[in-house]
Amino acid sequence: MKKYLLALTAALLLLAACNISKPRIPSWDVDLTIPLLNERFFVSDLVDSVNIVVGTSDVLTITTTGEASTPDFGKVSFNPDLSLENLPLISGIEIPFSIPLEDPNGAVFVSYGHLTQGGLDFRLQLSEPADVSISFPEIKSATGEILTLSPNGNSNWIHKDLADYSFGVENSGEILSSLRMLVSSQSALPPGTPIGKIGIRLQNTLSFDHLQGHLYDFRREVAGTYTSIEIEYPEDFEEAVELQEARVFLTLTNHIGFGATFYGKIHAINERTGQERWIDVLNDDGMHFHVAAGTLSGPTITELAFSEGVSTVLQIMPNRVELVDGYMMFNTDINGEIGFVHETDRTHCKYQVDLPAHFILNEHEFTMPTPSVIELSHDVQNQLMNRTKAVALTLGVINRIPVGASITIYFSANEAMDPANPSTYAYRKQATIHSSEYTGPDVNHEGEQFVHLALSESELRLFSNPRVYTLAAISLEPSLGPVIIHASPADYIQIRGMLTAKLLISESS
Amino acid sequence: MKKQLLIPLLLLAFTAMLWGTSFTSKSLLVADSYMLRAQGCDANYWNPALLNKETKEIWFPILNLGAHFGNNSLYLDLYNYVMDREYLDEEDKEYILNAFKDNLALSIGGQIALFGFTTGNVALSSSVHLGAKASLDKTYLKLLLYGNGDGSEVYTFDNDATNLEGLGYADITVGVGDIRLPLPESIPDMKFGFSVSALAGILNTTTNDFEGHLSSNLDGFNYQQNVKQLAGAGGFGAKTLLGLYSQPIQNLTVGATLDNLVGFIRWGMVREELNVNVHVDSLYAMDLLGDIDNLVGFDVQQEKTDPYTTRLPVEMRFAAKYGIPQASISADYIQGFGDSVQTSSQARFAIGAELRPIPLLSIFLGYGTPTRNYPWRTSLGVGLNLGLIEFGVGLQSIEQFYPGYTTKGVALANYFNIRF
Repeated sequence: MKKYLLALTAALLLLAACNISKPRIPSWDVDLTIPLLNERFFVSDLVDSVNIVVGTSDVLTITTTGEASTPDFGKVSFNPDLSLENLPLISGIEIPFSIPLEDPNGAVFVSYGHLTQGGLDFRLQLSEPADVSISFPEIKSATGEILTLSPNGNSNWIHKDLADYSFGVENSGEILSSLRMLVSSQSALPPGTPIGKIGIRLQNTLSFDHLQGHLYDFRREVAGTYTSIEIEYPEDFEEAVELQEARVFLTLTNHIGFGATFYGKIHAINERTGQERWIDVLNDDGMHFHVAAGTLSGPTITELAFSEGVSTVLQIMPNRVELVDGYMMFNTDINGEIGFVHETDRTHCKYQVDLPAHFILNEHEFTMPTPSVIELSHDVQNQLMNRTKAVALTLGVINRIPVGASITIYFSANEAMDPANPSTYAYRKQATIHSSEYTGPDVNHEGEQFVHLALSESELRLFSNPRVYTLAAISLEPSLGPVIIHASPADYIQIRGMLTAKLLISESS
Repeated sequence: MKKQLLIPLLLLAFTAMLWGTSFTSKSLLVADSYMLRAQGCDANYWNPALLNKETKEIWFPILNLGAHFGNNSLYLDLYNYVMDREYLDEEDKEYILNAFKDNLALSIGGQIALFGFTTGNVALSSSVHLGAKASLDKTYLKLLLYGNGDGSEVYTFDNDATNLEGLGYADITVGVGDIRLPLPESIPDMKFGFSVSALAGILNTTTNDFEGHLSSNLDGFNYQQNVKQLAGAGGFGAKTLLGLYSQPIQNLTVGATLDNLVGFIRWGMVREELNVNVHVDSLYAMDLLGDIDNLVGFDVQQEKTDPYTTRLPVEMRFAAKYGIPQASISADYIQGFGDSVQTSSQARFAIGAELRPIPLLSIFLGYGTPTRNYPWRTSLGVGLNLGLIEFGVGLQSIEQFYPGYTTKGVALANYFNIRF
């Protein structure tokens, strides 16, 4: 055993005669490639169901909605301004008279009406004492009793308040052009003997809270609310995009038993640029829309749409679209059917402005209004400076959207950057992503295009600053013609990314 | 938990013991050109035909030892080269990488004689053989020095380049030699011998499967590694060694042996298989912000396996030795018929010499030719022959003529025999 140790010692001595360096780890560089992401960004992910929706044929659509309404229709009133005097009163004989019931303006014709206000005046001038009774078969009280007047011997005008009385028979379908007035008298004189005169006046305004009949040119204002479009368009976006299509949808719920003609304007406002545009609400033939009358069984819904000229209005990329100067002109329809209205009836209007993503893209660069800032801690600065010698980002992009763009990112240690003045930034990096329409050498047979952004060791020195500012300028790739952005599952941008870095490995790491 | 620790402990035991196989202590002095030099108990392991009644020998426990450790790539000069540099540039990296062959092969082993004696032309001996070898793919070093570059390369790993094997067993060997073959008069005398060993398996491990790949690019980080490591302890087996030798002319002897005939060890007491499966499928940095359970998997299973058998591949040797009283020179041709801790299927030569300037002193020299996983080596030894007692020490140097800056391993041995 001792000899074995002796031999071992001898061998170790031989080795000991060699110079053996002190162990330590040198530093060296390695190139590492780290996959960063593999994501599909679907167009449909942009849908917020408020301002961005999936429209017809899966087209991505910017939309805004609003509501408007007439106020309560209110009472229908007119003053017949009728005065009949010196009507003969014959003893023992019932004399029927016909009293015209007409609106002198020709706007209202009553078939049936419930009065909330109004009355009639009458006067009886007797030459002999007599019992006189005057009845109006078409005027009934709330309990259904025919209005009957039994004047005494007073020869002055007597006013009869007709509130809560109704004219005509409900749902009769006939216009009540006149009221019958039946006058009967009994006196001591032989029948057929004139015994006096009677007078009647309808010179108060008659106000109906429920009317069946005809109305002509009854105007009611339409006022409403709107919702803002919460989309932040890049500056000058309206210069880069030419809209090809826009539509306005109106849904009118009419509780009023009269049809109407709709008048109004669509008003678009870009509050950032101050631009405003209007367009009249007209059908594609340039005519005003007609709103159907409600029925006794319920309201009628009328759906209207128009597109002519709307895209021109929306080209300003408004953040507010509203219906203004709206009113409705109610009329009996040309068939002369009896209409109806209650005091509280109204017409409600919902409107929707759709802006499908169907446009032509122009070459136009828009720059972000303010730079973004990257805050770098002291540790991160040291790591970048001492360990990182170069960084490159490689992106593999599959673009299934017919929109391409070039992005230029300007880097600087100062916030004040002017892309037009190279002295205000340290360097810039540019990348281009072609649209799905592109066919060329930059896209491989699988439809993937590659973007390579690299920062050299000298460019990385910028990150020794506590703050680095970046400013992005985006230039859309001009389209060959109108393009449509769909939001189906087949419409997406897939990005695969990897980071390649040359890193310094050292003992302290 | 105990079960989970078994295989790692077995592996650690191999690493700690630094033993190896396929040699005896004295053979190290002549770089294993020893088939026709073995006498006495040594002949039991090298060529039983050399057992004869003229050489009587006793081995005492522990006094015949040999151990070696080496590799095919690393050496002191390379170590100093790396440690003396503050920064490794591209030229340095290339220098380091060029020092490595396809893989980093490590080999460690030893042999210890327990006892032995001869009587007449019969020998009975026992010894313990322990050895391990490991191989590590050069790709790992390349990744360490260069990283994965631009991500375009897919790295693959397999069982050929990365593996770990270990084998330890004790033997009790009985050999009979000096059996003259009945040959015609015209043919020189040829002696035959054989030995039979009963083997007691101590430890065994082998890499059954090592398959994997790694890539990191736009397709994500993909890594898959399957490892199956088999381990056993407590087994039994047997092997035989057949030997021939002849002296066709004066001073020249030739011989041939066939070792490990029907050589096997059956492992039955402890037998476990460790299955490690790691997979990362298309992982991106952004995925780390969320749940990655479906992208990353790590599974370790250890299960008891059926008893299994380690085959000891047959190894064939041819040797010739020319000797005069003052010197001898020998050459051995070694060809294994399978790769194992003990054997290699790649043929090699070993050349040895013994100088006796005075009868009392022996100086041993040796040279072994290289194979892919077996670097060339030289050996040097010195022994004293005191009649009844002979003893000596020696060492081997791997890939350098003497231990120094470019040595890739050393072997040390001593022998102590009593001859009467």
